[in-house]
Amino acid sequence: MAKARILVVEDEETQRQLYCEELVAAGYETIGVGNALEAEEFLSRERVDLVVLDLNLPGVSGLELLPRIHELHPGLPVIIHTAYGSYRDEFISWLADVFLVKSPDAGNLVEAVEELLNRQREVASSP
Amino acid sequence: MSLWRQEQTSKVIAEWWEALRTPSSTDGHSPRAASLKPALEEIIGALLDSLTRPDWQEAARQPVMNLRFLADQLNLSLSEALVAFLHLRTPVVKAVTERLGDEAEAWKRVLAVWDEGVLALTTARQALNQQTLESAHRKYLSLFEQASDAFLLIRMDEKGTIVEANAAAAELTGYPLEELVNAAAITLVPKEAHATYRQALGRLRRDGQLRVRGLPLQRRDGEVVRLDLSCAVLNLDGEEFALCVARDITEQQRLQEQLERMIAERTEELRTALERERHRAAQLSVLSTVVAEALTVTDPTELYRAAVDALYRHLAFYNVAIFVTDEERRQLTLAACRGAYEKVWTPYYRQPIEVGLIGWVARNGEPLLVNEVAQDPRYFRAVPEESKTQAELAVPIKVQGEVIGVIDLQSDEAGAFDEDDLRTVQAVADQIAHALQALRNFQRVRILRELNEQIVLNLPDGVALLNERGEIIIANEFFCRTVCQFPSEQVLNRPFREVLPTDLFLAFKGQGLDLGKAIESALQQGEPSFFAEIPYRDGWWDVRVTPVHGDGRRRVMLYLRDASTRVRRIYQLETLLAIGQAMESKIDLHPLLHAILTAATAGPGLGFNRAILFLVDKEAQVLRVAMAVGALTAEEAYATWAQLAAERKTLWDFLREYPGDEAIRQTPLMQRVQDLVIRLDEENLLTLCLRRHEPLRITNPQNEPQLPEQLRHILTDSDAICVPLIAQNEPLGLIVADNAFSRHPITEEAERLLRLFASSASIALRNAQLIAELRQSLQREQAMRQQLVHSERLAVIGELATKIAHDLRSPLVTIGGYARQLQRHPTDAERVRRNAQVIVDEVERLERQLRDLLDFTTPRPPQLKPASLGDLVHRLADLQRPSMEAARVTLTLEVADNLPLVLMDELQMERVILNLWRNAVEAMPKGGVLSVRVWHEGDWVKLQVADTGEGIPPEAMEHIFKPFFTTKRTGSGLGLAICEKIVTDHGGTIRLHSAVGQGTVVEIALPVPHGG
Repeated sequence: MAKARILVVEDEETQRQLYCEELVAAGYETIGVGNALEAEEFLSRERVDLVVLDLNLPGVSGLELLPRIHELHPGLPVIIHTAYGSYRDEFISWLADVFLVKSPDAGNLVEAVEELLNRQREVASSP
Repeated sequence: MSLWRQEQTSKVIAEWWEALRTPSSTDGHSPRAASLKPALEEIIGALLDSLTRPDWQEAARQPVMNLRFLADQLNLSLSEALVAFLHLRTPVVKAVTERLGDEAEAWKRVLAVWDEGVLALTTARQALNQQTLESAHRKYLSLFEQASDAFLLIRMDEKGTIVEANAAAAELTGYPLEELVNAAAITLVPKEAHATYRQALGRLRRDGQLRVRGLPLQRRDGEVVRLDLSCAVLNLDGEEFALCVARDITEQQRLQEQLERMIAERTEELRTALERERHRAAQLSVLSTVVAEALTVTDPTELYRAAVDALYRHLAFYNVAIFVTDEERRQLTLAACRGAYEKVWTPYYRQPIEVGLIGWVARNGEPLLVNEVAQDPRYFRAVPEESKTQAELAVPIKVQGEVIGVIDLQSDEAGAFDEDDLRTVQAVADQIAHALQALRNFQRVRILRELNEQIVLNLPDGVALLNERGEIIIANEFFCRTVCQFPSEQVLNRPFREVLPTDLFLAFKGQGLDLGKAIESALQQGEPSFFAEIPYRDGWWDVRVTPVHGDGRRRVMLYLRDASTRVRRIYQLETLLAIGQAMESKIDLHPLLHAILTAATAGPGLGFNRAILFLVDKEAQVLRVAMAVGALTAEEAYATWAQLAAERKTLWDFLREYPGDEAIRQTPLMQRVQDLVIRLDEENLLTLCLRRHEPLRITNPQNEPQLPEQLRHILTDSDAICVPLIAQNEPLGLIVADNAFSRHPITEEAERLLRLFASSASIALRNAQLIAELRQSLQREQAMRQQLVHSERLAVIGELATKIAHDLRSPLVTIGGYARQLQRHPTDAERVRRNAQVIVDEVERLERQLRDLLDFTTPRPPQLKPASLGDLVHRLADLQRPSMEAARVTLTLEVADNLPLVLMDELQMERVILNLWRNAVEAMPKGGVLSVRVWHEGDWVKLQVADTGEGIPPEAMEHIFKPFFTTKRTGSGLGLAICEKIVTDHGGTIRLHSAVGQGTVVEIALPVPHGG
């Protein structure tokens, strides 16, 4: 089975690097981008299996990018990964499959990615 | 262009419609949406146009706004509207891409303008957050609605737009509520009152609040009513409003006017009464003088002089003269004269009996009153000086039917004399005639008998003549029966001390006077005395002691007159005035009620012994005692009266002295009644009186089973009266008054006056209650306003807290993540080094943010010491240069030599400089030049920090020094705010210039200390 490709949208470089490293260590291929326009540009060219999306991005926010992701790739799993739990109140965030509040333990993110991809696979393989 | 637009517009809308069509929403809003389709086409068309223009950013603003407006019209929920907006984006991008041939550019443009629409929608969400505020406002509104006073909220603009009004306001103004709101307040003002209102508005603006009585207001039907208006300025959302509470006081003013009219009538009544009184006293004095003279003189000329003198002195006539006829009755000779013509007529002036008014009187033996002499053909002017005479009164002196002389009165005023004067002068003339006759007959004893019979006997006043031993030799019926309370045979020939009642002497003593001494000194030294308004028995008496010389012996005439009616009237009048004034001036309830009860009980006004005021407690449905005035026992009453008599207090003294709530509570009567509570549903005389709105007389209240038992114990068997206090048809309470100690019957007049007082009291009471209510409601509202402000403030604090929490959380997340990695890969040297660096950097960032925050919340005053700003800059530059170079920033220094020292806190100033430098470096992500200059200029040492960075957008400039404002993603937003605070704490200034794309220049100036 080919490695799943994960797009990490995270504006803070140290964090982006950290999450990419952890996901790579868990056996995924990662692409890191620092803002919504880069992400959109990438997604309009290429396919990925999952998006890890920070919401508090410079310029176009993650919440605005989210519907655009759905337009480009309907059904593409998205994990919202943010420091603000309060974004849960924004109904657009419900478009995402998982809402994960950032924690110092990157393991949470890896777990969420694994679980979500497994669920996708099950849905895909079911008749 | 238009073809493209048309085609693309339909396409965009069709696609959009398709995207929006979800099973649940199709029927929901599409009919409404369909009706908006033409508008939608127009807007989308304009949007597409604008997005393809070179100035798209500017041009697209309007169509996006219109679009948002349209979304509002569709009445969508926020989420639905956001979805709708999102779905619209793709077709619009498609259309624009087709035109521009560049999809990325199309996305860029759409995303750029979309923000505005979406942001505007999220502001709708903020409105949701304000729900709490709105519910508070609703509460305020409902209060507003329910208030029984007219409430008007008026925006203080040009015409005073009425923003809110309640039902009571509609009722007051006669306008329906929907017409009243948005109307200009000025339409309610009658034209002639514009100036008054302008003045009031000026005062309101100056003081922030206002209370005016009697302002006119024009109702819709044209009727003008009078208002009691209270206003307060409220500042809501930056706009000024006047909250006005208005009450119709037309009715109250009418009552007030009624009271005033009554006072005026009473004053007039009293004035006439007093005038009559004065006249009578004067007449009596004239007579007693004439009588006294008659007893002594032997020469008629002396008698004439005495009579003329008495008439002139007591009645203040312009000129008084007596002419006598000669033997042959041919002419009239002047016998005596006082007044204006005293020096004009020579002694022994004479005139023929045929001429003049006096001639006519002498010939006809009839009195003559001519009030306009110029009109009378009989008038004769003897000398030119007499031309001043306007009116003349001539009365014949007849002895046994023969005219022996004429009393002649002249006045320089037309219409000066009346019938009363005529009667007086006639009496004097008669007396002179009697005296003359007696003189002729030397029958002096007869004079006394005549006097007795003619004048004294039938007077309704007490008159007595005392001989030199102080024995009563003549006394009229009134003196014997009423004053001495003996039959006349037991009065005559007895010493005055035995017959005059003891309590009369005591009454004099109570006033610090001595009647016995006065009589004795009149007998011995011939000194007259007059005592006015001596309180005696249940009334007030005037007493006159007049020495009478005659027959070579000293005699004294005693004259006693009951002046109670006059005194009472004056007192009532004063009371009415006092109550009227108290109503005007006293706003606090207790002093006012005290004034009313005092007026009812103190002095002779109403003469009640006690009054108890009950007030209705609406909540508990009971009557409670609010105040009681008067004595509890007879002993206390007499003691108080004696004390009051000794202090000689007037009603005004009583009214002026409010003894204070506590003193009133401590009186024995109040102690006894203050806990009295009477249930309103009980059947008794008090509740009956309240229900009927009518006063009620209670005879023998002590044994009245219909009275509450507690009250029965306090009242006695003498009459009591119960008067309700009614305002606007609502019973407020009642007054119970009695005459327990004097045991006087309650007169019609007392009842009438008490009712009048009760109505004044009702108005005052209602006023005071309304004012209290108004105060309360204003306070409530103020509290609510404060709550609103408070919750707004809380919202801001909450926002800040969220931001701070996030700012701190982000570095923590990073640190945690890298630290865990270290834990898992402790041997990967490269990773350890890199992670450690990240952790160190993040900790620094965290530390910086925390320090900023703490510095801002707990500022420390600077510790100023003389130091060199240049040295500080050099030192910091050495420290910072390596890290700047790493960031590809070149630091250039230009520090002048011989800089004066400035007073500064080096640690704080270091913060400022490092803050500015960091901002500069962060503004140059691709590197650049940071120039730092320090120089001396006038009284200042200046520091300039200039970068070649991005610059600050003009719209951000005005916020740049505000706390928590930042254009940077990772900043705390406190840096510049702290810099500014530190610099101003140093007495310096900080300025910032910036141009986007060119860089930012910050200039700091610190003062050079004088003499240093």
